[in-house]
Amino acid sequence: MARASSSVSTAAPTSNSELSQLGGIKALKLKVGPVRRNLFGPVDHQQLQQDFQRLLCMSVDMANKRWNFDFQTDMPGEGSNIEWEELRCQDVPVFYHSCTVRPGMQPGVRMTEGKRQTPSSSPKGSPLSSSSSGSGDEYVEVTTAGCYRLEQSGKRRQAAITDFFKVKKRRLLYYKSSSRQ
Amino acid sequence: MELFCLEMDTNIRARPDPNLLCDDRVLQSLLTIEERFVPQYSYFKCVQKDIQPFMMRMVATWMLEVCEEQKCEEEVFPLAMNYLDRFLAMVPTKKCNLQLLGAVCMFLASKLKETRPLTAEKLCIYTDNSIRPQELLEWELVVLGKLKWNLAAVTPNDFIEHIVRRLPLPEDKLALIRKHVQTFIALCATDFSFAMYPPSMIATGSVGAAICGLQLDSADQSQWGDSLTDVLAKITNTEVDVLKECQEQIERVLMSSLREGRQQQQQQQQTQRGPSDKGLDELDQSSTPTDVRDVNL
Repeated sequence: MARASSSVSTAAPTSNSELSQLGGIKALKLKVGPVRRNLFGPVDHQQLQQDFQRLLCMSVDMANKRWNFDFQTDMPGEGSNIEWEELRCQDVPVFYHSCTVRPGMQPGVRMTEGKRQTPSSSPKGSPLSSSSSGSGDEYVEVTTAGCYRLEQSGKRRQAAITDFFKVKKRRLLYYKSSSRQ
Repeated sequence: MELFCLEMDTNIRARPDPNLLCDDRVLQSLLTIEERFVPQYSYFKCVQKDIQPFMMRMVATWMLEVCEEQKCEEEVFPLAMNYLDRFLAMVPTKKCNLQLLGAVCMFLASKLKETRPLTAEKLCIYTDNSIRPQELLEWELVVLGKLKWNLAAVTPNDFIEHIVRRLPLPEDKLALIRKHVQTFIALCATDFSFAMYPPSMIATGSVGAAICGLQLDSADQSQWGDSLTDVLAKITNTEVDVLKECQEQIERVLMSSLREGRQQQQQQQQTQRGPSDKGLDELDQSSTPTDVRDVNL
């Protein structure tokens, strides 16, 4: 066997005749054994998990530093050259929100949402609730996992794509997110 | 009027887009950005302690076989190898994790390039269930992070059409030439000595090797004006000498792969049928070293 493999390295540079004798490029498709195979023996799953955690933490740390933002707690860091500015959930396009559910497909969810319109579940009340309540129109429900405390006085800093949607839809979004606080 | 859904279970392909293929700017842009995706140094020397070149060959060969068996798009395998090489150039890795990483890279490349990508479950089965789908998904995130989510790497396959279209080749041979070029490119991706070559050079060398291998260059010398290599070198701004060397290297790798394949198959057949079977031996008496046939099992 050893002799056989050493002869490979001493192979003369290509000549076309030699290549054709070997069966040409088609011969490359020779299959030896099953494709399904374990190459380097058993995998230590515990060790693998540790390696994964270590590498993942490294990349999260790097991302935290790069963006001056703690992605674990979802909070901006102090100092640094990147300054974070708070935006209310409804000021950013819907696709930046953690989850978007279309209630039309899930009637159950819509029912629950309806109940939240009562003042008891949103003690602060919503300035727009009156105009949007009772609306059975199609709307986009927005659920946000972690939204920071909103500056109540903050004026809109940036136009969002939702600004250009139907007014009714936007009001509903206002209402939904404020009722969730 | 009734509407029928005539959609078949085959992948629908776009026609070659002349806006992309006939515009010089596309080729020039590819040449400008390709360097960004090439690992800058040999990771065996400075990053990896546990991983040896022969192990990379094992993983690469396995990946190629999986891609072939699953009939992946041609660029999936070279792209997956690009991810793997780039990852290994940054992260010291244990050899027992190498197959997992190979699977992750195929998973990512397939998702980027295919209409029906490989599933995590399927890939785990191909590792003989030595890894779990959950692990594949976790490591996918690690690899993505290390590659900075730069997945749309330039591969040699991106250059094939641009090069072939600029050559005076017989129309009826184009499909065969493409097939051979793709095979050469895949072959180069299994061999670490090509890992740091720019993709355009591998593509150009592979086209050269394919045309020479099919002996299309000798049919009518006059149509080329310069030699084939000179024409090719101009298309991708490669130096003629470097290109020549690259093409020869590709041909050498093909030769040794063919020999290895032959020998493995022979050994396998000998173990299966016993040494009395002479079928294959007679085919290549001149090129196979005698000692291979002397092996008695």
